[in-house]
Amino acid sequence: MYIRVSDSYISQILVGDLNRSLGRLLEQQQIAGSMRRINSFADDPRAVSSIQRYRSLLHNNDQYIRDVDRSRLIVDATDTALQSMSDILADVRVIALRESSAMSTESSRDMSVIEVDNLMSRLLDLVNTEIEGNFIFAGRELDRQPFVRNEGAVFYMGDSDEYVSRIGPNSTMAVNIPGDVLLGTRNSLLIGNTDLAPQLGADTLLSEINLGRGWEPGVIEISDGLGNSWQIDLSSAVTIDDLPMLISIGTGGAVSFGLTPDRSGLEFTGTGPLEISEFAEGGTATSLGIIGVSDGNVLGGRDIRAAADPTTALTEITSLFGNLPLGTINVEWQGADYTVDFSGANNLGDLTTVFNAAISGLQLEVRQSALVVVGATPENFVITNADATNTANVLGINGMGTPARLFGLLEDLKASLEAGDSQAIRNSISELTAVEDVIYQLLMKTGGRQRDLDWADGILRQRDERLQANLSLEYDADMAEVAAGLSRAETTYQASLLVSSRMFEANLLMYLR
Amino acid sequence: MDASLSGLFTAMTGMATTGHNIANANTPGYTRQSVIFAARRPEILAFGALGRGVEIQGIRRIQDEFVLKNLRVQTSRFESYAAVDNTLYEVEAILGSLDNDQLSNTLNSFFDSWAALAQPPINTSLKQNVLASAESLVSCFHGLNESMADLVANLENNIQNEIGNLNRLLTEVGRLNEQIMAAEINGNPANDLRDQRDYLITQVSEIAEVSVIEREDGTKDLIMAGRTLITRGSVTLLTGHYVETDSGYQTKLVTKDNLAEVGLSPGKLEGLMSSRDVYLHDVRAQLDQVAVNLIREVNALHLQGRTSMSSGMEFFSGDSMHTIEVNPAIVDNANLIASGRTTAAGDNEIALAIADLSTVSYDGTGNETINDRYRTLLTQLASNRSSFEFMVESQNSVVATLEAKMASISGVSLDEEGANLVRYQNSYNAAAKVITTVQEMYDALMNML
Repeated sequence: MYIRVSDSYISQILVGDLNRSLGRLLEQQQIAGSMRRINSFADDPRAVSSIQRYRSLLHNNDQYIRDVDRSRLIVDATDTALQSMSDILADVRVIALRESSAMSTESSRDMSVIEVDNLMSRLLDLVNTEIEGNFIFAGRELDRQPFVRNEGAVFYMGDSDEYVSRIGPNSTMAVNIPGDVLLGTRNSLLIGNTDLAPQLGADTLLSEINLGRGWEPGVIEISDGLGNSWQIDLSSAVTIDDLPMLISIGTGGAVSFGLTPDRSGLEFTGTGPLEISEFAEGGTATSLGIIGVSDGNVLGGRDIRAAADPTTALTEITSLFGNLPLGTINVEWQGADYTVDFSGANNLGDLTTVFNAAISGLQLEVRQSALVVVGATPENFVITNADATNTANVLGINGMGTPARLFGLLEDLKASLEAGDSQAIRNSISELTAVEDVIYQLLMKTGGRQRDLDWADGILRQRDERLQANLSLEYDADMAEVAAGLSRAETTYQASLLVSSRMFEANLLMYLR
Repeated sequence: MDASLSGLFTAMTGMATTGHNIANANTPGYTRQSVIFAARRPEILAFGALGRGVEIQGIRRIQDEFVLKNLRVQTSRFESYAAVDNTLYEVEAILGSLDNDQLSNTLNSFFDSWAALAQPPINTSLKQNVLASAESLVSCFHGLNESMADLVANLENNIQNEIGNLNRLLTEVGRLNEQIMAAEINGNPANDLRDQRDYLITQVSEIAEVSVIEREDGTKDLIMAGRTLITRGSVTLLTGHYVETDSGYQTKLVTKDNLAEVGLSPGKLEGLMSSRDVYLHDVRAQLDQVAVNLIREVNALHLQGRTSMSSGMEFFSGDSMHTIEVNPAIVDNANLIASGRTTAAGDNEIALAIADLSTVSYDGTGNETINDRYRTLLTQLASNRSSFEFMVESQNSVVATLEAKMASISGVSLDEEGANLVRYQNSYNAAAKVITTVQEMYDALMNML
């Protein structure tokens, strides 16, 4: 049996083969020229979707990095201004101490008045610090100069609102400090110093951890000392309680999951050293605070507690352990004494409800996992323990709430210096301490924001590298493979051309006479 | 002598047929012909049957009807797939490449401009930048809409052209039917006319798959999707009729005489219409949806914002990629763009929320974002392109195999024809030699007298 080979048959086969060879050659040349594995949507539809997604994630990531960089301008400028204010207040303290001593003379006080006046001017410049047209202490009224000196008094023209910037996917951060909070020209303030963030519990929502910043659902990679490694998709988890089962199933029981002894973070137990890392471009392990390698069989994570809020139960707060039930506190406010009984309180909301109902004009609030007492007017108030439970100390609010009367304080100091009133000068030192405390608290706050920005920047840059790598895997051509393919396609095409020319060279008619 | 003469004649006929084959070796649609030889009926004598030479019973076309029919069916499918593939290729070209995806880029620029407006330190003059990027996005939507409309117009033109081609081919086949009927009335096959007709029917199959039924008189009826288009010399011509649809006026295939709608069978025409009605329509609908989502979500947020001069103002107007526009009041005065819910320069809540629309759906329910919606479109397009490219390639292989098979059966082989030429020449020489020998015998006999 043989196939009948007509001239048109030969032509069909050869032209078809030549076209295929040339097509393959062009395809390889296109890949080599573009250095891309995919040059048309049809080349790999699955990869098209991934590439678009990685591109989009990379683009957004770049935008977040720019957001972080721009936010840093405000936060760093705020920090610098607060540092300078702190330095100026230290100079004021030196002046007040010097002029309240026996060595003070009228002449030295006159010089000090001029010095204080100069320091006031410098302070005014600082609180009116402007970055690219934004007054950083003006709240949201940032196009308006916030502090104006008029007839010896300084007036605040901004508002009490913060504005926020994005620092990552679904993550924002307040970047400015409104001037009235900074300088307290409207009220008095006592910031608590006890960390009231609740312990992690089984029902803690993952969307609320990291002081409310939440987590990034996704996949983590776990490997143990036996050489096992697993990729575990935690996306379906909603609460902390959902994680153990996912990890147990994912690792076949080789790695168990729990909370750290102080219940502030997550803890993994298995055959060490355990290593937990991110999978692909994710930030899941980082957001759960568990990225890293263990020394032994236990890998403990960082503090990822949720922020305290009015619903936070007192029994969930580590710093209150051994101090419950709470007792009573005394409050001196506007010449009256109040006793506030916290013994029936079960959560932070109960504390604020009882306190705010008991005292008019003072407000107890839960801010950033600490208690803050705000006076409605710029007057001093004092909070002390009322019984053996030391409740004011336990809650971190034992002390004097003062108005941060920065410019008022300096005006008063100037007047005291001019009057030669040593006692008034001495009294100004204690008020100065309150103002310095406020500045210190704000510096802490700004420092925290700088750390958050550093953390966010690091995460975003790591994410950028991972996304670039993943995009490259999907999109870029393997040049060694392309070079080999190109060479092969070229050889095939040349061989096809050679065979084609030979096939048409001869037929029987050429040999007939 | 007579037997030798018949040998001369048949050898001459064989050589003529070989010459005909060689001459048509490159004629498209030509089917090689072969002479059918048979021994003449012998003369029965007393001592036995005496051969009377050779006769020609006919000249036949060498063809396999089954392969031809299969080739036409597969060609119809190939043309259908190729038409859709070409359209999808053009859609891909309109949307841009992976490296330069126009709508993605302008969408990103738009959301970036809002992000920049919200970025600290806040610069309200960047509202002009938001306006510029919004106008650029609107232009991009309009450009895409116009390109898609141009593509539809091209498809409509192609459909009309193919209907014209189909009518021309049907008319030709009808005419050839009549010629063949007339030519074959004496029983001899009209081989070359049949070749021409088969070639034309194969061309018809490229436009639309047809069933072919051959009658005893040699004519062939053509039936498309249940409707008879040709009966002997009678041809039903078709025309493109514009009817109003959801997507505007579109061409439908109807009969020319009574405008009855004609069903479509696979082929280039069906592929073009399917490209227009299904694939292109789907892409346009999805692009419209991207525009609608953008308009709805941006407006929902911008309505909550206020400036020192305005409040509750829509940012975009329109309800499709064709009608989307930036609010004319905002075009006139970019300061009407609200970046916050209050007039404070530092209120960036609205700007942040709009910038976040690139990653988060407005209602926060985890539904797809505007970018997700567009990505879905691209993925579907990529998937369709890949499927059709694969189908075109595989169908091309099927058609190429069948064409090779046809060429193997019906194509002219110059080697074979050369061998036949030698064979017939030798036959002719031999027959002539016999006649010469008889002549010599006659001469010898005559000389003896």
